[in-house]
Amino acid sequence: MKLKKLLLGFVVAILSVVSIAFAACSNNNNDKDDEKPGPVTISYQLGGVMDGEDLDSFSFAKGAFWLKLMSDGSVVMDRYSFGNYNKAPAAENKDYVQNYMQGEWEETTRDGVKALSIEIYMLNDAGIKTQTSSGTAYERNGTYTCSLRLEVVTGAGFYRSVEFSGGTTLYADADDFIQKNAKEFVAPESVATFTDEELGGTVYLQKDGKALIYNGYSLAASGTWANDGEGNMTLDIGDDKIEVTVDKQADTAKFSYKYSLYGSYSIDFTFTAKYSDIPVQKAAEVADNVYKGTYDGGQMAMSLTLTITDKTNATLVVTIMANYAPSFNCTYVLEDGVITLTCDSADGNAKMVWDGLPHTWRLNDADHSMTAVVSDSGEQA
Amino acid sequence: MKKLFSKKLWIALTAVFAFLMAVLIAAYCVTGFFRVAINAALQTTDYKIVPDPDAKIIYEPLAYSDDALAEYERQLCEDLEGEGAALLFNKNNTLPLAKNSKFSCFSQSSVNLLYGGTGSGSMDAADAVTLHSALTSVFGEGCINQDLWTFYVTSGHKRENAATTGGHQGQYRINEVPWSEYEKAGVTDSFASYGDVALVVLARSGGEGADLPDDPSCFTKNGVNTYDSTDGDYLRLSAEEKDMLDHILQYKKNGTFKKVVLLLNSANSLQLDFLDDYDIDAAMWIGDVGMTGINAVAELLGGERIPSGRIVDTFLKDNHSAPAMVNFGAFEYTNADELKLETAQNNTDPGAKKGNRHYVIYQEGIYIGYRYYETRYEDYVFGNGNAGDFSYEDDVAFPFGYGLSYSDFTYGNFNVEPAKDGLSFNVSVDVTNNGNSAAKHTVQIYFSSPYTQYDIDNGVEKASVELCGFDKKEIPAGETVTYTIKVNTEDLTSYDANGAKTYILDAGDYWFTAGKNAHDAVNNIIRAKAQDGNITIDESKMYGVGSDGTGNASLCAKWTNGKFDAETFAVSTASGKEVAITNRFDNADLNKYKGTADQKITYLSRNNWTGTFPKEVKALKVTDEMWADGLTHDEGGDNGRAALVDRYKKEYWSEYTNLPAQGVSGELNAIDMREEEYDSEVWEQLLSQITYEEMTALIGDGFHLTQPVKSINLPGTLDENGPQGLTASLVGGESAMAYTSEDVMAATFNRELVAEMGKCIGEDFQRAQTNSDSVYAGIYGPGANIHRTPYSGRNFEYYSEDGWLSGEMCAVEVSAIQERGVYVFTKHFALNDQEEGRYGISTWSNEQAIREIYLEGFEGSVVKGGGLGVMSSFNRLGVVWSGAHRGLMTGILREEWGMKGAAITDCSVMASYMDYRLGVLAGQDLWDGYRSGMDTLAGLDKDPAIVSACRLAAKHIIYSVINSHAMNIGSAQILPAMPWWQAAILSAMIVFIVLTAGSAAMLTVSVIKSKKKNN
Repeated sequence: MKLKKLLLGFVVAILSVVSIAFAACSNNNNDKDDEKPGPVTISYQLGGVMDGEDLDSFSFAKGAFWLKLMSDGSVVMDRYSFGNYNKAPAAENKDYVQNYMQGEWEETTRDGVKALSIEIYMLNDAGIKTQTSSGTAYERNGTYTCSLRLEVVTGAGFYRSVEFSGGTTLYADADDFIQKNAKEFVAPESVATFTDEELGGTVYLQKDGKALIYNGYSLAASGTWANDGEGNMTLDIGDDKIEVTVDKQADTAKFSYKYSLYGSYSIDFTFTAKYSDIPVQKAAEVADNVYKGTYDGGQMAMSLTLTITDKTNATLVVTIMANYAPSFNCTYVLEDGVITLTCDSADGNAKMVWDGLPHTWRLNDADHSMTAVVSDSGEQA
Repeated sequence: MKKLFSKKLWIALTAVFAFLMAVLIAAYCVTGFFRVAINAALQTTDYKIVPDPDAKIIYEPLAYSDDALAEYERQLCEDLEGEGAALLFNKNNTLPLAKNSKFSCFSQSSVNLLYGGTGSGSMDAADAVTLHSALTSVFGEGCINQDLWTFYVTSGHKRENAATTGGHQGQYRINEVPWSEYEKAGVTDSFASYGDVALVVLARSGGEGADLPDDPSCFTKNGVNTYDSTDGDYLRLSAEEKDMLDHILQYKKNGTFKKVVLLLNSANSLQLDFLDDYDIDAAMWIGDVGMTGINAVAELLGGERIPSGRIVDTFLKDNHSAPAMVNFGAFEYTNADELKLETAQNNTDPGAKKGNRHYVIYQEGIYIGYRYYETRYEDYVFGNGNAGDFSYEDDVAFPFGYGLSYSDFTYGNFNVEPAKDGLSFNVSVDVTNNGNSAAKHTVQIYFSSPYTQYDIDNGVEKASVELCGFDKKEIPAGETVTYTIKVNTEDLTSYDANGAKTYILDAGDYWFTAGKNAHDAVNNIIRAKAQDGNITIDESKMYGVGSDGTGNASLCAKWTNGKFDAETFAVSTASGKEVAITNRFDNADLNKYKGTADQKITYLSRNNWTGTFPKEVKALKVTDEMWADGLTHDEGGDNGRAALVDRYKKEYWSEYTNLPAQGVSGELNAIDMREEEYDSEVWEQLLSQITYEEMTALIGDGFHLTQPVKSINLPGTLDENGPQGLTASLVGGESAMAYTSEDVMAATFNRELVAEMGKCIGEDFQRAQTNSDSVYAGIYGPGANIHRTPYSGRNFEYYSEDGWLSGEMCAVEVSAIQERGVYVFTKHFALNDQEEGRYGISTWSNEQAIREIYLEGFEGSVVKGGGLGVMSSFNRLGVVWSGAHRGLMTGILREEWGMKGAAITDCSVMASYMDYRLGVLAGQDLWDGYRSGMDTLAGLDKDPAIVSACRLAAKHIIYSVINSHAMNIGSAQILPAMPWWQAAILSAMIVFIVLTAGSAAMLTVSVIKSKKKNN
């Protein structure tokens, strides 16, 4: 009996300590709010979104923000990280953070224009404001707008300017905020997929030979894939040539991939798929209507990609350097495998590029290459 | 009580507790791995300081209250702007404006001024003074067309910057309001009541991570032009801006507006071809104005101040006429795909690990800015150097050093006296203020050195004029003041990389002149040379800017150097030792580096302007040697990084065969070293006390801080961004006063003012609040790169197109900052004059240009300013990352310049090409990142060369810290202390370990009980 009491006492003591610790560590803003007299209501509410293709590799960083300007002059800003595609109600949604930032606001007249002056921040352990951002919201046709600089991922030090807009009404409550900003994850088009269900990874094999590796909803890496249908399958991701282990008898294809974030934190995925689901794919297959070639324009080697879009039109992209690849919308005449391109729309620098290019090319359907046609005089036609 | 022994309950509890325990253990490990980053983000530390009651305050705060200091700084920012803003033209004395003037302010930028750039140097402009407020304070309430102001504020149109992270050139947007919206809003009706002045603000932002678009392709995405309003050139007027100006001038024609005044609010010089097309009455360049600078602009407009700023870049009518433009950008090696080379703009891009895909060639050599335009102009006038069909007037709008005043100044009695020791000249000139008010005036001294057959034979280039001295004084109305300016003979030398392989002073005639600007100077010298040589000038070729005239030979003096001298300036004593100055950048010059095989380049030469003018980008292929010498991203193999490390050890550290002592017990404290010379043997004793882990942590984990070293009681510090002032905003902290862009600082030509600002920046660092025992002791700044083109994203952080002027200004700023106990990291060392491809881009140049243009600003910081540190750059010199370039990091910095403090890297997070081993062996000391994932120093504690290199790096870092206000703690003890977040995780972890153990015990008891019961 003594042992029972001892154990019971032990459990009670530990749980008490944990409870106290959790209570002490919990956000005390709510306590403060409770102490304030009278009902505090939302005077204005503005919403903003941090999104963009460049965050595709950090989907978790995509977020919607709900800026509530309260009647007592305080600001409460909630964050919903919609990039995790979690639509659960606020109370149980781990991607919804209430009181993500706090602050103050006031109605003001700035340079003769009525406006809302807003400051938001986080308070660190010593009570010092950090991540401070301030802005002035001006009204136009009943809508207030302003920009606030927000950190992309807390503590990472990278900021974005987020445009906010709103008025006296915007969201009914947190659930409404989540539902209005929630997005459906649109999986990339694919002909087959590998998955690691345990770690939440997916590899999308695309028709054009591209392979996209997703860590959750974040694009972790991309490369190319090939499968000869005879059990030989490869994936090229950056410098890595990944061997896929195929067991035709068991109808499985499997490979390992180490996803590394910041070169240190890493996830070791083991992706598996049903081999019979994976179609045959030639290495680096080029689409039927695309031809590739090169042209040495003096000191600059250019690479060209010609896409025949219909019976009379084609697009020629000339990659001269990493950040300069003018595109020409052309009409064409195709006879005996020789295509002659005409483009009247080029101007400025692009016209100079166009004028310096051969306009007649022989198309090779076997390897989808294109070579400039040279006239008898040695001039390129 | 039965339930207490329920097996199911204890199984469940054990499972839950065990799971949470596992999560917390994992969290403890993972957060431990990212400890440095988390500490930086939360401003916590893993040590505590036990105070020294006898500590002597080494750096006392200035005798200002915080409020008084803030007010003083606001005034200082105004003074910088007031003396830096340059009046470009002022037709019919439009300025100053009458005090009762009414303004209509035009452009969305008029209500949203450009206060600074973006990125690490960005500032919070929410509290900055607006144009509205500034004009009102000078011209009175009601001076502004409120309808128009409100229209802009609520128009929804706003200038957009490229994002620093994940950004690109195509994100820049001017977003000017289309004129149709003015009419739709009916705001045009308001013009008549505010018709005295149409004040037009044209702003262009720049920032870290993306250069300004100079070409339509910058806006092209997937073959589609996403924005064509500027014809793809961000520094030209957009269609909406042209339309706005067209309409404003129509209103001027019909008498609604009396005057049109233009403010150029940008650190990147706009292409000013449009000035000839519009009847604008006055224009002023104001740069980025900082928190309060616009107040001074209003005072300049109202005549409360007299303009005295001089532009520090050549302002062009055709930005693309500069010889650097064709080679501005990031260009791919032709075999980049084959070698799987990668690139990155930011460290969030995976390519940051390799950073080896791109290159850029500085084919224009020394001919940057006025060195090109003025030199080609002189050769055109004299018919030299195949100058061709050159038209200065078509290319240049305003020359370097140009700026008007409301007063008028005349020069006389120009005289040059060589000093007896031959090492300097005293240049004097009398300046008379012919105006009615006292006014400040800058005298600029230029020299012209002979371009000899030796130079032609050895590929030495000479600019026709170069700035070598200046002074600024206030001159009372109607009075004459004598300026006496010392010019160092050293500044007249040229670097000869091919013949003498050192600095030379050519034999021949040197000319000095006092010019109002670079073009005025070259005109003076042309006249003097013509007179001296009895040469008849074709007057139709001479061109004077504005009212400057076309030269005055009487303002020139000749000094003849009788003997070619390749000895006097071939030795440096800055380090306290005599060090031979010789080539250190052969491997950054395509024509000297053997690894590029036959891939050679023709540099622009004044011997043949037309024949050598860069016309296209040279295609480059990576050779095996280039790969092995620095571009490799492999660790192993004959050409991998490990092999390169071995080569570095053999070449630079072969004498270090004995393993230095580490972690030896000793009594020395870091503070003790303040009394010791840099070369004192006591340092060896101190360094021996430090363990290898402490050294590598100090070197490797320096993300916006320095680590404490407990074995010598060295405190950790916080280091933060400049250069416009303290800004911790990049890492979520507070910021202090933000001054103007650096080019405005330089344009003041006022050393005292810049020194005063440096002092205040240092003071702001001293007073900045922190959340730990660490203090803000180091600044990532100032910036001393060069305005190689107007399109660099970070021109706002750099002083000028002129290296010498950059060095002069940097020296006084650095010296003043350090006087307040804050060490500098002058950035970005070196040749990081663009943002495109910045992670690891191979920068190819030649040694003359590197030394005479691109290192001058940094040399000023270290040699003249006593700067303790620099920040090495992301890029490579040739194929070698700057931090691993031994010639740069040791040859130049330590041996020639004598720098004693720390060289930090630019942000190294993710960028594993910034290899620790190569860096420390080359002379790099501190990494602005953390070792996690790229700790190549781990396990090398028995490698004598590596340990010796680490000791030297540690010494440099310690030297910086002990010469900072961080040492105000005296001999305080540094003890390990767990930061609160780690303690919280650890506590929770222990709780759940105990809970798991307890519940497991209870489970065991319940199983036993259950078995007993069953039995």
